[in-house]
Parts: sequence; structure tokens; C-alpha cells
Amino acid sequence: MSSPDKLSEIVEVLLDVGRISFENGADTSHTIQTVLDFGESLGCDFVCAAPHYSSLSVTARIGDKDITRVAFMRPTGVNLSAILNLRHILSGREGKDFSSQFVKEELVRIRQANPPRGPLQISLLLAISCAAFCRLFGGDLAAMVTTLVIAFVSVHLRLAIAKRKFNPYLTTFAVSLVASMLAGLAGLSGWSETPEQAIVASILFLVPGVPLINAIEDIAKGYPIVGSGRLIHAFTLFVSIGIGLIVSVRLMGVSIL
Amino acid sequence: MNLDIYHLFETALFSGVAAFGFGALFNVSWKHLGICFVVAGLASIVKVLTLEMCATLALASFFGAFTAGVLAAVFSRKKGCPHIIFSIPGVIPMVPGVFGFKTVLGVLEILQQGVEVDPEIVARTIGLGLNTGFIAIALAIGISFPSLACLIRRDD
Repeated sequence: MSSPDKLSEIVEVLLDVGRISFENGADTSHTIQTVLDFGESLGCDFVCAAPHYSSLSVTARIGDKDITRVAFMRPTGVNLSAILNLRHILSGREGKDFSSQFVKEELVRIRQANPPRGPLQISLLLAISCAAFCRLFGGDLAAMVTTLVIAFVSVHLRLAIAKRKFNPYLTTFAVSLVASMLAGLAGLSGWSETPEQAIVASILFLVPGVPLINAIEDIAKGYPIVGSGRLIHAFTLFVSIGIGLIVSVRLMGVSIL
Repeated sequence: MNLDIYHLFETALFSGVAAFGFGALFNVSWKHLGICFVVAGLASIVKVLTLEMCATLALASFFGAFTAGVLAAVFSRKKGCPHIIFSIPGVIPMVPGVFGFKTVLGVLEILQQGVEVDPEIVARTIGLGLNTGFIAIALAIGISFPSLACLIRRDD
């Protein structure tokens, strides 16, 4: 393979590394550092990565040849195992032929890897989390059980809608509406002394915690454009949750403010 | 300081459970979920203790997130993983989610009532919004503090 072809393939691989890291929930400085580490390991003399929220540009140089490529990015949700596997490729490079072809094959493996848990398992574990939150807010046992059941159904609904790749804001609105209506109905039955806690805790799995933290982290570490993009995304998700919630509390006639 | 040990234990336990569930959502492997549980539990203990010492919620969240960041850095060195595997689920129980969507509810209420709005709702909404913002800032700075203080190696 000629030198420009080799460099071109390396830049493509580095773009893919950056996309996997960023799209799966890593903050900007972690993404850039990962791309730089891969570039160094693949023999580049100079690497520069610049994420811009919905796109990523990478420049790499070997000798006196350099190439810049840009790729489109779309955050797909948080998948920390993908970020961990990227690190494993780097840490296991000793004694292997660490070529761009090898990394390319490993990246395909990461993209095609099955998630460690199925939707039922995720729904159950997340529902238990929401019930724990309900207890942290001072909910009684009946409110915890209500939260557990409603969160299980709502998480399952959300995962089913997410599979069809609908707009994330509309999805969040719809799930917030359904979850808070179910919790409101359960509250009207009067079997819990703390129905408000059940309503609030049932939709906590929708809160964009990772984008919110990453946004502030990006701004604090000198990437204000990416941080602002993430902040607006988090804010819009909060508005979607709020609208779904306000519609249901008005219909149910309960107050949670 | 009036410390209720049962409350402290309960907060740590349920925060750990919350982090465990969110770690599962984020595809953290089974062998690392236990560490997320420990990180979140200890971070919440620090948060409650700081709150008991009359700190504001944002300051208590900062110390909680700082603890999560330090523990995540220690475990990431031990296990050879990026620190965000442990720090992100570890701070999830402290994310101001309820403050966030209650702020949105307050804003929608103000929009609906217009100039006749009750000043108490305005004050409460501003308070909730400020708390959301400051807690989010405190969490982000808290978990990135160890990396700023060079506790995390470059290849972590």
C-alpha cells in the first residue's frame, strides 16, 4: 500500500475511533485523547481531532504528508462498554501487529457487539433504580412498589420506541406522559401516602444526566461549542419531560410543584 | 451535628442501587457494576455528611462528586478501565433531575398565568433553576477534579 493510501486508511480509522467514543457518551477531552493515543500507536507523527457536536474532523500526518477528514456524528445514547473496549484495543496492543487493518476489524467488532443485557433485564434493573430513588425522596413502600411497576413498563416502552428511531424529544414526551399518568392513576387509588414521590420517581430514568454532566465538563475544559450543544440537548429533554408531566398532572388534578 | 446512622446507611444503600441500575442501562459489565454501587454509596455518604455540616446542596454535591471522581480514578487504575466507567454511574444518584423538571413545570406555570402570576411560584422556580444549574456545575467539576489534579494517568 502506498504512503497516501496508508495515511488515508489511518485517518478513516481514527475518525471511527472518535465517533465511537463521542457517540457513546464520552466527554470531548476523553474523545480527543483516545484519538491521539490511537494515532500515536498507528505511527502518526501528528494527529489533531476536533469534535463539533454533530461532526468530527481528524487530521493526521506521517512524514510530509497529511490528510484531514470530516465525519458526521449523532450521539446514540450512553454505552460505556464501547468506550471500555476502545481502551482494551489500546492496552492489548503489545505483541500484536497493531495495523490500521487490525484496529478496523476491532472497531467493527465493537459496533456489532451485542449489549450485555436484554431489554427485560434493563427494564427490571432500571425500575429497581427508580424505586430506590422513590425511597430517597421519602416515598413509602406502596409508592416504591408503584414506581417499580410503572418504571418497568415505561422503560420497556421507551426501549421499544427507541428501536424504531423516533425523534428523541417526542419519545421522551410520550414516555413521560404515559409514566406520570399511570403513576397519577395509582396515586388516585389512595393506597400510598406519598403519591407525588411515585410520580416523580417513575420518570427519573428519562433525566438526561450524562449529557448534562458532559456539557458542563466540556465547557469547563475549554470546548464551549460542544458543551453548549449538549446543554441545549439536555434542556430540550427536560422540557419534553416537563410538558409530558404537566399534561398528566393537569388531567389527574394532582400537584407536584 | 445531628447524625442519623440509619438514614446515612439507607441513603448509601439506595444510591448504590440507583447507580447499579443506571450502570446496567449504560452497558457496564456485571463485574464492574459492583464497583459503581460502592462508588455511588460512598459518594452519597460524603454528600449527606457535608449537608449535615450545614453546607448548601451544591457544595455537598461537589464533595460527593469529588469522592466519586477520586474512587473512580483509584478503581480505574486497578482495573485498567477508563475512569468514566465508574464515575458516571457513581454521580447519577446526585443528578438534579427532579429540580430540572420541576423548574420546567414552574416556567410553564408562569407562562400560563402571565402577569397575574403568584410571586411565590416565580421565586420557587428561580430557586429550583439555580439549584439545577449549580448542582450540575458542582457534579461536573467534582468528577473531573481528580483528572485536573493528575490522579488519572494519561492512558486511563
